[in-house]
Amino acid sequence: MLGTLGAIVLYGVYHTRNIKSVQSYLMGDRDLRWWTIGLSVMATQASAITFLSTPGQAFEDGLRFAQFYFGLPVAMVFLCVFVLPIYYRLKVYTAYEYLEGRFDLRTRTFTAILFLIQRGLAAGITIYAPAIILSTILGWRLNLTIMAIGVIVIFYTVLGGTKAVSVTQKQQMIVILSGMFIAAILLVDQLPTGVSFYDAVGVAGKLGKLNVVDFSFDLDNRYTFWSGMLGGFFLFVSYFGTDQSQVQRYLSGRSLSESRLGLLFNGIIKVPMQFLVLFVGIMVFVFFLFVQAPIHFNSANLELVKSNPKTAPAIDELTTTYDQLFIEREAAVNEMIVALKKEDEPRIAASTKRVKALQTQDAEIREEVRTLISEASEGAAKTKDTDYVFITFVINYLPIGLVGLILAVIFSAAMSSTASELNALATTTVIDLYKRSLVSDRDDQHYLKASKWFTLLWGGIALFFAVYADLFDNLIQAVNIIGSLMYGAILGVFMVAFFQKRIGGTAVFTAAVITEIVILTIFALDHYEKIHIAYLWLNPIGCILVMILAEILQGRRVEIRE
Amino acid sequence: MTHQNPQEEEDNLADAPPILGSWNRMYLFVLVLHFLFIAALYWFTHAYA
Repeated sequence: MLGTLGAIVLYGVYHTRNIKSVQSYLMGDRDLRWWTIGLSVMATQASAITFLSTPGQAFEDGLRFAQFYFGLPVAMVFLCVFVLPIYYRLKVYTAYEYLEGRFDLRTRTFTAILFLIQRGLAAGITIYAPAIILSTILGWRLNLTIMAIGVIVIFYTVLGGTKAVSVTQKQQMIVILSGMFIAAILLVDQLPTGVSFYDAVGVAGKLGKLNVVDFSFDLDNRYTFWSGMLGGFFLFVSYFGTDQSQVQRYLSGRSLSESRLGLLFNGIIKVPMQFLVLFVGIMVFVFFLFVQAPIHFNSANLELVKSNPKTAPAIDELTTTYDQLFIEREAAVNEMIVALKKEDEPRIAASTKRVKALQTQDAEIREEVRTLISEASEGAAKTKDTDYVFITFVINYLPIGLVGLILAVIFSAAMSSTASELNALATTTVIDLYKRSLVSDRDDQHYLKASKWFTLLWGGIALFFAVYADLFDNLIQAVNIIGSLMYGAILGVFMVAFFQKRIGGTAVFTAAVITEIVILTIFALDHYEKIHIAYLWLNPIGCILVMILAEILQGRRVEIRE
Repeated sequence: MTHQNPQEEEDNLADAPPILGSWNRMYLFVLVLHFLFIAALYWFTHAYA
């Protein structure tokens, strides 16, 4: 693991040792080829938590999360047709720079500050979230794990800027993809003798885990074909088209063609990659039908319950029931496999019913354990343990060499997404605020130095927030929620800029503010269960509302003037 | 300052894609591939249900 990570970082530093201008530092001389752009865009989006959480999500909920990404390839095509040519024509450094030319300085500064707040806090979480899981499972000190990720990222991002981020991401993405692919193959290999891959898929299917596509139209259902295709489309157009951490990746391309190819590459690879990661989770699920899984995957929580005199007897009792349940379920699953091999439908139906009933009991026991954890920690511990499923499997059941590779995957993912965030934060700070509004008359070397200092500053802020994140638990949730609540309105501002040419800055600014109030109201009503709308739908609602309101407000301004 | 229409400007910025001859065909290729993948997933959902 250390060898892989060290080699990638050294390669990045060596490759970018001759950075002499701010253009090179922030835009990487605009000479990247499409495969570097494509992998860099993918690596920016895929954080470490993606590879820790997603298999766990499939373990619990099946494959339906794959639908979340259905709108992504369509969004890539949309960006290639409508957005990239505009950014290239204007030769902008940041997405927000474009808004000044189109509207005014106020809109540019406002959106840039929104980005800095949102991403500045999120960068800390990108480091903290995997660190807390890795430190729990590996027994490492949390702050040491945070420092291990953070200091390395800051080191090569400050030294090499955008190009260092992109070239290291290329290597990191290769490690990530090959690591997950090898994990999937070895998982199948780890199944008990007599259980083939086909049997494993058959069992998972009968137990309702292979539910990839659901065409039902239900606003309350988070993952359906329609929420993924429509809600996901707006979310991904917003994320890839207006979030500087992504925009910067493809603006450093050699030409418009290279950038387009990079995004289309992402559009082709992303959905199959997510499917692969989810499928790994399904194989982990089948594996734990034959090998007894821990009663709770977060070992620290389990220790807490066992060491508390109030909860220790209850957990012992639950463990005995759980052990017995596993033996019964294993026998029922074996019966199911025999029935599947013989294609004996009545026997398949009977054994499936039996396994499902035992699965329900299993879920009930796990829920009781969660209640005990809450009791033992007096409500302080997080009882959800799906993020720990995959890493528990990796540590306990994969060969030692592969454990290192998977850890390298997780560290690579953490570093690659953090590096993009720091790079984008520094660029936006320097280009949209510092150079534009604060210190506008200095030479190139001054801004190069300023860019490095701002990267270091944002890295320090991210590390600080990561180290103290456990003190701000509610803030972490708030940051995640704020992100999803703002994307629709921000996209709306950009859509007006691209397609509604007669609308000016005041109308769009007012429309965005009104829309945010409406979105927050919908979110509050949903939170208090007055209405039911899955959060993905807030993206199209926000975007379309800004466009309509801006049109109406502009019309009124024209009427008043006349 | 010379004025070009958006299509002319774009032609100056972008070369033809390395395969399929035009960008519209490239986009169609990506979208068709995506919908074929979804169709395969739909089959997968039902084949093993």
